[in-house]
Amino acid sequence: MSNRLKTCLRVPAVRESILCCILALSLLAYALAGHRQISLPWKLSPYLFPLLVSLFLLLLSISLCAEGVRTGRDGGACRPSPKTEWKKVFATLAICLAYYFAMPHTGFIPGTVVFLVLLFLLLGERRPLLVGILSVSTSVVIYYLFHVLLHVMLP
Amino acid sequence: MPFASVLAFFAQPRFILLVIVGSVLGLFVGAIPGLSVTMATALLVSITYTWSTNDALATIMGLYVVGVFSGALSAILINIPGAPSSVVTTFDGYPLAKKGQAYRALKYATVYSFIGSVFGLAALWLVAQPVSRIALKFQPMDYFLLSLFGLSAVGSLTSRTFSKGLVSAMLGLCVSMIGLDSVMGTPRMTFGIRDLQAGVSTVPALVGLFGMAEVLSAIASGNMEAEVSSIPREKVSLKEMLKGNGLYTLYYCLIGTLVGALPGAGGPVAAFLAYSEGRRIVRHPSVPFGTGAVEGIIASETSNNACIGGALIPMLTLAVPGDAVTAVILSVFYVHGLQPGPMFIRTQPEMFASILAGGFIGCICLLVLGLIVAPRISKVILVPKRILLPIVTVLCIIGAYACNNRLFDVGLMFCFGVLGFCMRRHGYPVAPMVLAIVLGGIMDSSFRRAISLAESESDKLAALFGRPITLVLLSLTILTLVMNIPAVGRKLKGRTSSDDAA
Repeated sequence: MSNRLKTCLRVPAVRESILCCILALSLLAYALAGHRQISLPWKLSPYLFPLLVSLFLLLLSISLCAEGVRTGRDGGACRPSPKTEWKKVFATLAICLAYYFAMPHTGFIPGTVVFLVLLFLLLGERRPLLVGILSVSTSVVIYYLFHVLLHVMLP
Repeated sequence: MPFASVLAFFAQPRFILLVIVGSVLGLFVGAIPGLSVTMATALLVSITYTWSTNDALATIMGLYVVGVFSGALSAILINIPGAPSSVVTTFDGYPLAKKGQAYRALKYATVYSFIGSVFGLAALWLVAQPVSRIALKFQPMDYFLLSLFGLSAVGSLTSRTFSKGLVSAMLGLCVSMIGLDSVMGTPRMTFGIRDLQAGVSTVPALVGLFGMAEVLSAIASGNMEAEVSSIPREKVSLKEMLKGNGLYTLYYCLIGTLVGALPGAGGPVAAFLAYSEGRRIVRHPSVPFGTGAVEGIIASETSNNACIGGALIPMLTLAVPGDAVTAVILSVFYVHGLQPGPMFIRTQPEMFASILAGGFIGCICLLVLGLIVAPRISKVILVPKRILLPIVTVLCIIGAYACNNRLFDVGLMFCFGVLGFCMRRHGYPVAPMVLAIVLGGIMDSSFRRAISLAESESDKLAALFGRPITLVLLSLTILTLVMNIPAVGRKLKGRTSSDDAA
């Protein structure tokens, strides 16, 4: 791979434009394949709009690529990215997923209390009494306000 | 419609009390991301089924007026809009709150929401018939172009790179295509998942892209302390708030009322258009737009609240709802045996007066509740994030679940949350995506209807673009797209700087 291409690929906008291009081409293929399966003219076809969007997305991917190349030429690729707490982000998502799957089995209040305790601890709240009080009171207040007063269905 | 018949409702304690009840409910529901005014109005339909029509309308109007405003509360304080129409309020409201001026932002939002609501209702009262006639002139191609103009405008407003704003909008259009196609009923992009056949609701997308993404972004940044350490006591006088904004406000009100009167367009489009116009016409904002300019809050809140009166115009005069809430209100009319239509205002003047009185009392409630609540809830910004974020996450989950009572929507909300988080990290704005999800359905069906209608004409191009409204919208859209092409921008900038040098 030539050095110039390597430099270009280091620019986030160029990588994003490739992703955008793949998405546009997939949508284009989907629209054309879908339209072939139905016996309708294009003006009535449900795949006309996806086709238009895919073409527009393709044009945008070119524009994005051009901007990326220009940024790379100006030395914008070497910008340092801010520090990210990836571990905490993934742990939060894992807790959310566990809550999502456990909810139908545990019921709203017990599931929410455990979910809140875990999130409070993960995000750095270390006062056990406060964590307990906040988790229980938030779950109960939300349940009362939404389910009892507003008749909103809860998970 | 005589003034006295509207004023008579101001002397009925029961009527006023019911408007207040609706307003308090609206304040609560609108401020919580995911709990929509539409959902609350639909709930009220079942509760008010056995009530008298006046009582039902009083409660619903209170909820409607205050509910639309209160979406701004969460938008300003935690950067999570309570409804799509408050998305624009986050652009300047949240940066202002982060500067420790949450109270100022909330006060501006309250006062200008009040002005917008009163203007919209006054328009409903005085010019309902002419406005509905203008709205009727919009053809399918005009709806398509109006939506396209909204998307191109928002793409240029929300990102430093125009392409990124438009990519976000295109992603939103892709999401809006999921589900049964509205014209032929063919399933699109469902990939065999049955739950996707009903399409992707706006609420899980909005809550995920703003709420969950905000939670993940805050966690990723590692700063778990409060956004600001103290809120300085500041006096924001009414005179200061109103000074120099009169003509702009009137312009935003007109945008809100007219866009509100277009069936399906609604608050989000009005707010985006007004904000875009605000950026163009306000020469000297307090600070640049997008960094905490009160002028941005004024544009957004005035126009989205003016939509209330606007949306009621086609509903009452043509029986065509202007937005989702008026669609539910229309069902209240039918439940109570009322027939909206061209003769409604003449044949049912007491019901029309009841709607107007409910709306105006709702506006007063908005002002009072907003001014009472603003200084108290502005303290939310002082709560450390390690306490606030878990509670916001639970509210996001409940909001996503409550829109269709499906756990599947909670899963969708998480997916949108992760997508929104990734988009933010790479500098892609999420607002165009939300607007595109809201408008995608209208754009798709309008475009195909326009093409089908033009097919039967001899001059197809003239049938599609030959009308004055269409030409104006087409020119605006093309102009917005062309002006934002980087090469054109550089050329224009070069010309301006050479003119300055000369």
